[in-house]
Formats: sequence, C-alpha cells, structure tokens
Amino acid sequence: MSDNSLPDELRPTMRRAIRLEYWNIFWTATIILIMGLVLGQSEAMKTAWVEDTLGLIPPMMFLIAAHMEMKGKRSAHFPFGFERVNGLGFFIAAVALTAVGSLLLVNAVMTLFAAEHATVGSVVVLGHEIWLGWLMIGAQLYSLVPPLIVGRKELPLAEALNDKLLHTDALMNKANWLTGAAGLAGVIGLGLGWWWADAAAAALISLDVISDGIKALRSATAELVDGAPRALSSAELSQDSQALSERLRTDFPGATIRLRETGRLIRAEVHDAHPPAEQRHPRHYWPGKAERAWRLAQVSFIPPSGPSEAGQACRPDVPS
Amino acid sequence: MRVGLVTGAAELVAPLLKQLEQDVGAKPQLSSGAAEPLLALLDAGKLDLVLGPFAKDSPWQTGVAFGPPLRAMPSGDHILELKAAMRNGENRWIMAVEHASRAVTAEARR
Repeated sequence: MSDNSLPDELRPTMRRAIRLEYWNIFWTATIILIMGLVLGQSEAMKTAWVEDTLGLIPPMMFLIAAHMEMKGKRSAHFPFGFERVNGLGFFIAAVALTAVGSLLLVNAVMTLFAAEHATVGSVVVLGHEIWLGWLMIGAQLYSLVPPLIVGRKELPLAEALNDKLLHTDALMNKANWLTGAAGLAGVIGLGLGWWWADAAAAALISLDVISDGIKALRSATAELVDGAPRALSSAELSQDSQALSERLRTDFPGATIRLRETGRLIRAEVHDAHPPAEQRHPRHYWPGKAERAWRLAQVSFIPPSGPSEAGQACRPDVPS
Repeated sequence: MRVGLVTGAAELVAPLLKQLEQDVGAKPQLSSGAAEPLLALLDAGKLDLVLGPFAKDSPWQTGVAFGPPLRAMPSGDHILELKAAMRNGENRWIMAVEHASRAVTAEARR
C-alpha cells in the first residue's frame, strides 16, 4: 500500500497539472495587475476584476490539495491520507464564488436603481492624453487571452485526474470570454453615453459567477455528505459510477450497492453479500477502461445479519 | 456653462475658465460661495463646474469627479489642490475640463 492516497499512475499527470496551475496563477496575477491599474469608477471593470481575483482561489486550492495528496503521509491522525482535501478545496472555492457573485449582483442592481453614473475620464500616458476607456478596453481584451489558453489545457488534465476543482477552474477560464465581452460592452456603452450599460454588464457578469458557484456548490456538497459520485461537469450522477453499480449488482445479485466519492476516488459498499472466496483487488470490479480503474479504491462487503444479529439490530435499546 | 467659484479662487482659476470658453464656446455664468454648498449644487445638477481649492483626500472624492490639480496649496497640516470638480458620469464634459486643465498648467499634465 502506498504511503499516501494518490494512485501512482496519476503522478505524472498531476505534476503537469501543478505546473499548469502555477502558470495559471502567474497569468491571472498579470491580469489582476493590469485591470487594477485602469479600473476607474466602472462597475463592470470592478466586477470583472473581482471575478479575476476570485479566479485565483481554485488554482491555489488545487495546489494546496495536490501538495497534500502527493506529499501528505498516512498517519495515526490521518489514516486515510488527504484524498478529501481536494473536495474541501472545491467546497471552499464554490462558497467563495457564490458569495462574492451574490454580493456583486446586489451592488450592480443597487447602482442601476440609484442611477449612479460612472465616471471615466482621461489620463496622460507618455505625454499623450488618452480616454481611460481605451485602456480599460485594452485590459479587458488582454484578460481574455490567458484564461482561454489555460482553460483549454486544463480540461483534458482535469478529466484524466477526475479532478472537479481543476475542472471547475477550466470551465471558469473557458467561460471568461463572456465576462470579457460583457465588460467590453459596459465600457463601450459608457463611451456612448449609456450610463446604465456599465452596471447592466456588471450584473450579467455576476450572474455568470453565481451560476458557476451554485453548480460547484451542489457537486461539492454532494461529495462532503457522502452522496453518490457526481459527474465532473454537473451535479448529475457520474456515468462510470452508475456502470460500477450495475457491475456490482450483477456480480452480487440481491445486494445493496452504495457508492461514495472521496476526492477523485470511489469507494463501494456491498451490503447483504459475502465477499468472494478468492482475493480480488478492488480494480477487478471496474467496468470501464483499465487505465481508469484507479478510480475504484475500495470495495467493502457487509454480510447479511444472522437471526440473532438481526434481532439486535432491530432492538438498539438492548445492550450487546 | 454654470460655474461655481469657491470664495477667493476667482483669480487663480481665470486662465482655466478662459481656456474652457475657447474650447467649448460657452460663456460662464458665475456664482460664488463656500465649497460644500457649491459641491452640493453640482451634485444636484444645478451647476456644471465648481472651481476652487479642495483637500487631496476630500470626502467628495467619489461623489464628484475632480480634474487634475492646477496647483498645490499647502494649508497647515493639509495640502489643498486647486482643481475643477464636475458631476459624476458627465464623461465628455469631464474630458473637456481635464483637457483644458492640462492646457493651462504644467502641474496638471503630470
């Protein structure tokens, strides 16, 4: 048995994902800096800036979780290792996304109702007077490029690792063009004299943030309360876990199958069935491709209760 | 254009008013008074511009749009800045005043 919870065959992919997340943090930091320099009073810019800053949470949580999964040893205090740190990170990222998205939406709606007019004046750059809006548009255009590239590179790694945190980050990055487009529309609207365009764009961006957050929150909560394994990109049950359930039901007719997910791994309980006579590795039961069999980390058997045990189970007040 | 002049600032801002007159082709209608009431009138849309010395960290910083400072005026522990204040969101007008401010002093071009 390995010292920690990460299956050995995932280590090279994990290292690639870690490298990519460091790059992700670097590029996001450049976006935060550039956007921060030209924010002005634009609500859309501020909201996009906050979203970009929030975008740091998933890669940072992923790096912390990956470090603990790869380096953290099983111990008396943590006998199962740290495979669920990823799930915890996913939950924290989801809560942060939803909370800040809601806050931004309230802010944008209040700005719209109060009819607050955003000021975008001029600045002097290298002796030339420039409308700050042009710099905002430039910053928004720049902010579109790195997430698009990083998001595309993250997606296959997230699927290979079955990493929901990485997958959420990839989707957020890929969807960032919407934020950028809304932000651009807001600033251009201001330039055309449409004061409401800015706050309306901010509201649209915050709705996107909330939608990301709620999807992630549903999936993260399901894992933390031992729900059945969920698909990577939605809160639906994952197809491979459903296939596994079928497989175990076929092998152990009449048994009750319970599956749960701890991080990227699946653990199965086969109730009311005796374990087979010959020893089998849990991966034996994996119904899909062999290279994904690492997903199944444990198959436990709970034999049917005998008459005396059944009696005890029915009468919890009787001391055993 | 309806201009509020903070008492005592008329002479100091005369070049800026002249520049604005040239740039936008509008005659100023001047009124003068203390800074607070003038800024309140600006916020209410009853003035287009207020000119005078304002604290660098004025509490009106987000309530109105200040133009670039024409000059710094030390006043005790604080530094006051002689500058124009415009109504938030009047972006074309704000740009015009900023442009005029930069045209009349080197300080504003920094």
